[in-house]
Amino acid sequence: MLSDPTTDFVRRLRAREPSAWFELWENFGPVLRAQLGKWGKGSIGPETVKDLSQETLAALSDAIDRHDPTKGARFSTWLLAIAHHSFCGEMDRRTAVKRGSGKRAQSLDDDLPHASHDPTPDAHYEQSVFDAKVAAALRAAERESGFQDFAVFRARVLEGRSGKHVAEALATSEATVSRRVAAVRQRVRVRLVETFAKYSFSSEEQAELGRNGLELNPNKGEDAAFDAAVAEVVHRIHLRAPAPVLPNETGAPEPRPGSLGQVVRSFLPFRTDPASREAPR
Amino acid sequence: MSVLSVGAVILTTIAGLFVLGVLAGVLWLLWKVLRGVFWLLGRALGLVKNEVVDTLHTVGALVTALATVPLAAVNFTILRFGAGRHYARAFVDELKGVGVGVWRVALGNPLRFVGLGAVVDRAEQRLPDVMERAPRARRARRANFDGYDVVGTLPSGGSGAQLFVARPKAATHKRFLKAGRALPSEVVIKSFALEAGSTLPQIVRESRALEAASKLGLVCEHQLSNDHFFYVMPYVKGEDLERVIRALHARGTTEGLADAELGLALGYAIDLLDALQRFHSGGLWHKDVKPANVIVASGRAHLVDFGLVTPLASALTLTTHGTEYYRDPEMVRLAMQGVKVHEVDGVRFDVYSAGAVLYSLIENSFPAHGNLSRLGKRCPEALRWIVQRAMAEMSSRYPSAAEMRADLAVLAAARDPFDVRPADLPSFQRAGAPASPARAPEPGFAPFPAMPAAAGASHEPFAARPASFHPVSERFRPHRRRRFTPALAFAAGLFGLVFLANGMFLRAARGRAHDVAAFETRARSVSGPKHPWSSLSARERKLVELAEGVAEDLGGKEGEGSPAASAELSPPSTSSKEEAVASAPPVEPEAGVFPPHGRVLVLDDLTTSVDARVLALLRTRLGERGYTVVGQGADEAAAVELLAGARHALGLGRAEEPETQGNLQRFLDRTADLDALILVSRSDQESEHLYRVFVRSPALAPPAGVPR
Repeated sequence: MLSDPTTDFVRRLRAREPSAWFELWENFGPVLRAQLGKWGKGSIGPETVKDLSQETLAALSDAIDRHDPTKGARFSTWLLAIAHHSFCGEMDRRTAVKRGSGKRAQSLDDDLPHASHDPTPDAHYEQSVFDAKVAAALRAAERESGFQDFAVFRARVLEGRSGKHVAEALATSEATVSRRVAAVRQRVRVRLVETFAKYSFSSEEQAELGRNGLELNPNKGEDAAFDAAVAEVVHRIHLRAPAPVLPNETGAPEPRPGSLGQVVRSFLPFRTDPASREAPR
Repeated sequence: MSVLSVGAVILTTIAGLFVLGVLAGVLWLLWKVLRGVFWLLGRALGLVKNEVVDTLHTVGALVTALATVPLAAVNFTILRFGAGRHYARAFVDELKGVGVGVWRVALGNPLRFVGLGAVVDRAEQRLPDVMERAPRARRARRANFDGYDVVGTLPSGGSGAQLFVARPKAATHKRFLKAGRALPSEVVIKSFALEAGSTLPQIVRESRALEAASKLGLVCEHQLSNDHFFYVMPYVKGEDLERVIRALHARGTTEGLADAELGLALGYAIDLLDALQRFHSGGLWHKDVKPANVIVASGRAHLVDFGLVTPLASALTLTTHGTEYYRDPEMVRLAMQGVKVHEVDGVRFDVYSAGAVLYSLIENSFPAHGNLSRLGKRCPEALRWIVQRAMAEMSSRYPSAAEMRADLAVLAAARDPFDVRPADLPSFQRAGAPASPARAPEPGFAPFPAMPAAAGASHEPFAARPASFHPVSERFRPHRRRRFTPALAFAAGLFGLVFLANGMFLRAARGRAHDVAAFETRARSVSGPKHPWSSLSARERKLVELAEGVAEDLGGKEGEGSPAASAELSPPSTSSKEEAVASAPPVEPEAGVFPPHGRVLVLDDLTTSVDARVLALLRTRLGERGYTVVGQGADEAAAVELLAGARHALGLGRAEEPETQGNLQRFLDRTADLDALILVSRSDQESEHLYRVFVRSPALAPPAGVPR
């Protein structure tokens, strides 16, 4: 059963509202890129991953019109299915053989034994989507809060500094720090509920918030647990950050689609692309 | 029995424990040895596996390389050069793969096996980088540009252009000197050719940026033909910031930058913000600030690449161009809404990018999570705050590069930046920080300490900088809670009433005080290098008086003038300006007071848009008052040489910078044919023209009354 925010979001997507698409891209683009990179490990480079994640969003714009929310699919599964479709399309293009060449077109499943037509989201992927939703809520809360309020929250909760340390750094009292943290915490709670309502297609997805200690709970005694849960998610997000390579360092040259090298590689039982060779062990 | 049996039991127990201990020890030793053996075995198996895999990789790459050779040959034979080049490139790529494979099989894997993995990793990371940066003169020889000798190439960026390093020919130098400009000895030529893969929209976009860059004086010249377009910029020889960042971190520890490197990083960030400030005050938005576009040369950072430079007031639609992670996501959101450039605050987007560059400097990585990115490496608290503020939501962000620079300058000037609190930063204090504990302002506290600005001066570590701060512990006083008593409430109410009653008066008074302070600041800032009055000869004194008098008549000495004069020069409307200039009453010559052969050069600051009419009028007035104005007489060749020399001394410096003023003073001191120089610039708001008068140093000037 879709909640009102989800229905509204889907309506905005169907109306091709650029802001809705950008929202989707901003929040879930990194998750898609990570997943595509995982599927195409050794076959595609970072530039292709980037292109594919864009193609996924383009495919979403078609799929959103045909999406039937009554089927009860999870938002994350829906996203994954479309990303997989884009990925398979790309691999299909790369290994396509011209008609009349006397050869049978290569089967996608033969080429990619690890990818089936019905991708099952693994725990890691589900975790990434969950974390992306929390990050989206934090961004929204940051936009609402003043810079100093959020900076205090960030230092105190996300970075785990003591109230005394933060108070000294900002030349203020610990009571002020606590007050600012409480104000931002409340905003984060509200935004979390909104974000999860917006990006969840099933009630089970919405219940994830409570299962992870992030429910909207007015009980003050739960604040410490809430802070710890948020900090844990943010910590996980940063651990998952890409390797420390600057973004325009694309590394090895990308295999050219359709080139002989690519075709030969696709038949070899081992990886020969320079990207995999040059990756430090 | 009992004693003996007890003794026997004890002895047996001790013996048993001993045996157990020995057994445990042996087992532990055995376990350790076995672990070691298995570890060695694992490594050996790893080595075998790596050797096999790498051998197979090498064979695969070799097979692919060999397969591309006949294809390349066939395509070249049937004159399909494009496809031929494609296969040739693939061949080269595969050969590189073979090389890497051979290296790993022969040396890399065995060295890793014996524990030298760090050495191998370093070599594998650095070698391709070094090879990539090798000059490619062979390819460069194919390019041909009128008036320039191409000596090398640079890696091309994302704009699709080719970049060449070139030396201007003698004739080109002469042509520029004739036009009153000087060319550097080496230039960069950015070339777009349709046959080289550039597209028309790229060329159009670059040419649009070109006009903006020309305005800043960053582009020397440009040429456009039917299929070819190129423009020439000064060449800043150095390394890009990406590599410098890696080198800085390689010198530091895994925790982050060491103190000296942190000082350098702050210096680079300040240079970057200075450059951005220059762009913004020139009405431009760089739009592509990232480490790859910052070149570090002679210890200072220079912002390059003007491919996306856009006028801040442009009526064009905002585009999403830029580099991911260094571009504010908000900009993309706005671009998708179809807003116009002038409807957004481009300055803040550049500030975001500067924050992202600062993040990269500290972290040796890019901010993958936007403003939620965490600074995990060693970093002063205040610097963390600056990065967060620069990358914060639009409305909370630094409104200008100058404000961010001021914060960084405080940090850079501190003896130990780790002692600086966010609360000590000027922006924090201006932003209405939370009620601070009662703290008297410290004597000698300088919120905007001067940075080393000598030409070519590199950034120094903290120890060499003046100390403006004391440790936090010395300054911090715990917050004292005040009780809210009725007496306090009454006093607060009374104060509120008085405040309300006098609100208007106070506001007006503050406004006036602000105006006066602003004027005084401006007056001080434009005073330029002068010499003690007593050290000047009578002739020099007259020169200064008259030069400043003329400037005062035109727009005001020290940038502030009489209302009539301001009205004459400052109206933005061209027609009214022309009328004003035409109707300006001629000034009576003061022959006899000033020696008629006194030579004065009038120069305009290239970084601000000085009105040419103002320059012409100033020259005319100087002539009327008996000066010999360079460029107004018959000796055109000498005038061109003088002007070119002055331009070279001025460079792209801003008039208010001490470095620029020092350069001009030195130029004047070593130029015997010149008595004075007047530098004309515009104020930050571009509402008025400012004049700075330079005279030769007294020791160098010829004695009064002695003809040249």
